[in-house]
Amino acid sequence: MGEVTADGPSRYPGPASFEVAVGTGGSVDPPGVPTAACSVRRELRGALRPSELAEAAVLGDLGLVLEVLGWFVPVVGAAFQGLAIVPFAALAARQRARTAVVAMFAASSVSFLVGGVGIVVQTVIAGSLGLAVGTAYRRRWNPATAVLIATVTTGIPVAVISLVGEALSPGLRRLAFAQVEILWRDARAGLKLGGAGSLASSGDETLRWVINHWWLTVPLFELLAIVLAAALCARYLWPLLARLEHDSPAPAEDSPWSGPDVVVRSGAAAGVVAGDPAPVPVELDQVSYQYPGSNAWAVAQVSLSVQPRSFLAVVGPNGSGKSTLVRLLAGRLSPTLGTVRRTGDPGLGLPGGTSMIFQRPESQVLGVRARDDVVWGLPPTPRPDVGALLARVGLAGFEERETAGLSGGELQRLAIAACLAREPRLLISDEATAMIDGPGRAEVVALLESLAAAGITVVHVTHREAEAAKADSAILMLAGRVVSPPPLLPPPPPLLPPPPPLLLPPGAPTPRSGLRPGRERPPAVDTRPTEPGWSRVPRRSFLRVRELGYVYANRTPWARRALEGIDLDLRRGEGLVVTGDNGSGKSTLAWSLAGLLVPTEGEVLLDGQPVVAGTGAVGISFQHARLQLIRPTVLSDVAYGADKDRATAALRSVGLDPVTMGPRRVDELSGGEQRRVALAGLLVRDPVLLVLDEPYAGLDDEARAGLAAVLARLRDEREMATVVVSHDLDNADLLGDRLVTLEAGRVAGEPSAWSGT
Amino acid sequence: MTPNGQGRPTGLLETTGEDSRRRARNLHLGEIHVVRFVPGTSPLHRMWAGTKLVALGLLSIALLLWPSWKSIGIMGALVLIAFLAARLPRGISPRLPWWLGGVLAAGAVLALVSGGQPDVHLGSLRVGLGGLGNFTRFSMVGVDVLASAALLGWTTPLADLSPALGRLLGPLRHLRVPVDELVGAIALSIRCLPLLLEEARVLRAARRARRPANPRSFRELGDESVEVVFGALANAIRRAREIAEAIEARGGVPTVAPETHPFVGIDVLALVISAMAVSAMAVLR
Repeated sequence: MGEVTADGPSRYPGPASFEVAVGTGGSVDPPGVPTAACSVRRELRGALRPSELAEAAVLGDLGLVLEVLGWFVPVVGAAFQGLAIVPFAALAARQRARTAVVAMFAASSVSFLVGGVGIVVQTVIAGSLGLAVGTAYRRRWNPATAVLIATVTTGIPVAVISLVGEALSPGLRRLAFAQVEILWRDARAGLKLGGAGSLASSGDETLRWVINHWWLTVPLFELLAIVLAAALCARYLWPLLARLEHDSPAPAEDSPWSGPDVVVRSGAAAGVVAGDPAPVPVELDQVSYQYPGSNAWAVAQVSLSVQPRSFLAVVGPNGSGKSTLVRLLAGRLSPTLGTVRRTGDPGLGLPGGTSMIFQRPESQVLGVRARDDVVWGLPPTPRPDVGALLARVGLAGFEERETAGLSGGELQRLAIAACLAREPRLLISDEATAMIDGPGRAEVVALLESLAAAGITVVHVTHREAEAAKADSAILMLAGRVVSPPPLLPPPPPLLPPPPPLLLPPGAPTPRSGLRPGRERPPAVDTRPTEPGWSRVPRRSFLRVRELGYVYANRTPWARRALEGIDLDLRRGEGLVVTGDNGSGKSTLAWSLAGLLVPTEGEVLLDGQPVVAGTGAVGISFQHARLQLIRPTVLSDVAYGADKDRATAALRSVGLDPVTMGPRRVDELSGGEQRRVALAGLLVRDPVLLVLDEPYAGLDDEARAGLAAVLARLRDEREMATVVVSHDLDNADLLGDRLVTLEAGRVAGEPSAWSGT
Repeated sequence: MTPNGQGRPTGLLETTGEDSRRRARNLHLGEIHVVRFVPGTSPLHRMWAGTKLVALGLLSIALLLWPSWKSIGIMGALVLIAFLAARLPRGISPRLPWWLGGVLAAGAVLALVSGGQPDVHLGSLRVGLGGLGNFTRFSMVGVDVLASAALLGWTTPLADLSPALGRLLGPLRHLRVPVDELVGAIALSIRCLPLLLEEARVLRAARRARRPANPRSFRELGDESVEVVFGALANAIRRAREIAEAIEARGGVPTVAPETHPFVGIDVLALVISAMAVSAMAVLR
């Protein structure tokens, strides 16, 4: 196990140098070359680091998706395929050329599997043009150099290869020229009709010359086309790459454990061989951490000790430094100030070391099949007993299941199984329960408890006090500091000020605050009075859903029913909460209400008309708000399709200050802020119905209360109806007047008394 | 959809034209329909994925080298036989884009108008079919290539592909090509593809939901598409960051499970048939 040493790269076996065949940037800089654009990053050699591998796979896929979409979009489809250059250029601008070459190779292999030979050629050309432009950008060469490189690396090879192909295959050449001749004969007939006979005959001669000199004209044409494409890229991609460098997070420094941590080899850890992972006990002494480029302390003067076989919960709101703290514990980060004492190496990801699971379930499962995922990253021998591991996390029999079809809770348990395959001494969950539904959450927490009981040290980050109560000890973090000293369980503190008044009309029941630690979840089926529009003027329902059914991939072998026989009615100014477990059809319902899906059966009527997306009458916000933002700055995005005044008002109504927030770039914002901006962008169109898909995901209590207040105000003051789709019932009572639970695509429980008004 | 029923205001009937156009536009929001695996036990399902990759590659290249009617016929026959042997259910054909038919029809009309040998006499009218023949041959090459690729997708689980590629590319290790890294990246790409497709679907939906009422100029549309791509890029980079952390938490080194699928008689048979077909294409031209 001597693999973990202070100099990280030795963890990544592989040939030390790999001369890249395509692109001039393939080899490592000779000394004296001007500093590269992302100069904080030292030039790397050898096999790809995790961040490079991940970006190669994801951005390569993005290029591929653009290629595939190009086939489905009429007329402008070719433009989509041109845009496929962008991800590759972005990759080459951010990472060394080897990354882009691997991405190009991977994307073209996958495209062969998806679309056959034709799409491979497109992907390779897009990749290699992107590589040339991106590399030139990264090395701060001028755009003309980029064109030159592209000519050498893409234009000439394409020309040569096609020359060879044409020479080998006169059949294809003649067939292709026959298509040109067809077009020309049509054009010539047109010209003759138009009285331009001389032009027609000179065109005849030209075409004959072109066809007879195919060995010159074809390669020359391709070369010119590629040079032109490269010039266009250099002209239009340069500003985009500059903006990406400015706005998007810089490539992560992969910092395998190194630096000023102190390894104490005391009697307590007798028998620990140097280099053997021994992540616990670990002691933080006045540890502070500052992210590079930031001047705020993410973690400030934290002292903490984690003993073996304990279960520690770390609680706190968004941005309080919880994630940074556990990364310090995991050895993923090294403290800026202070000391971390351990008896051995943290050994992140190594057998007997530290394992981590993260917030987004689908981002941390790396295998295509469950059994691939469990062994991902493990050496070929010894193989763990995958079946037993899966059984231990409650996924017995899942070996052959494809991970793309698993629910959030199942994915998290699968990730835990992959951790267990390494027999970790320390298991860290960084908000692993934040994005999964209630039952999934309960299972994951129970699993963590049982692992702690079995002798694994567990550190669980959460913003739910109820989960923290299951731990042996809990610490509360606020603004980078530990507020309550471990190992004392904090006396239930008033975590946050009470939420702002919700502007409910007088006489309305006071909403439960929902912020008390350990509060019980509301029952799955709402038992509260459901009189229509209590405390409001009753109104006729304006949204009517009748017998709504939706089947994905209908009339194919993959047909999957998502909704069946849904009846709903909604009045203006009414708030509806739709809940249900993963896969119960919640999101499909949200999409149908917004007119984004055409019902397979039944209908969704808004004021008597089938609902249509894009008219402004219905606004829908998605969990990943970034995808909704289509302008670079906050104010310009909100003002899209409206004017500045309305945009300013909309920003105010979601609780963002137009003066300070307006000019900010959308990519600098946190996920919660992006969601608010997206909401403001919907409000400028003055929708009568607002649909929000998982608006609570990843938000802490304060942000939740703020969002709930905004929605309540919209309902009351602007008579907007709101539909919130969420698996997260904590504080759900603040989000609407009524609750509907979906189960396997149907409304569960009593058919609501208010339907059919 | 329930039929537009009784007692509706007539105004609704007027909107049905718009309604059907809207449906056409919405068709692909349901799910981006790429070729997907259909479970089965047919010989084609049992065949090693690597065999299918090699056969598909060889046949496609041979067809492109010698795109004669005979080659198209050979390839088409093989695809048909394999399709029948795979015992695939109905309804698996991907929904082709609606405009493709229009493009093909327009191409055929143009080709017919352009004439060319041989000529056919229909009464006093002389029609040259040569252009149409060429155009049809050209289109059929495309159909053959796409159909064979679809066949691979229908009968091969995505998870089988990267181990197969690992075995196929294995010999390149001697040339110091980092095969494991490439195959690891391919496996990760395959894993991430559904995530990206889902994001593309959300992206299109989000765009549609915010589509402004008034028409936009060509320039505005261009600016917007740049923003869309940029948004997708920013989102992909965030996603990659999370995946990188997960990779690091697994020790940082991608490994692909070694190929365990046996190479059996059916594979030999498939390769022999492919080789014979390729030779036939080369000889017959």
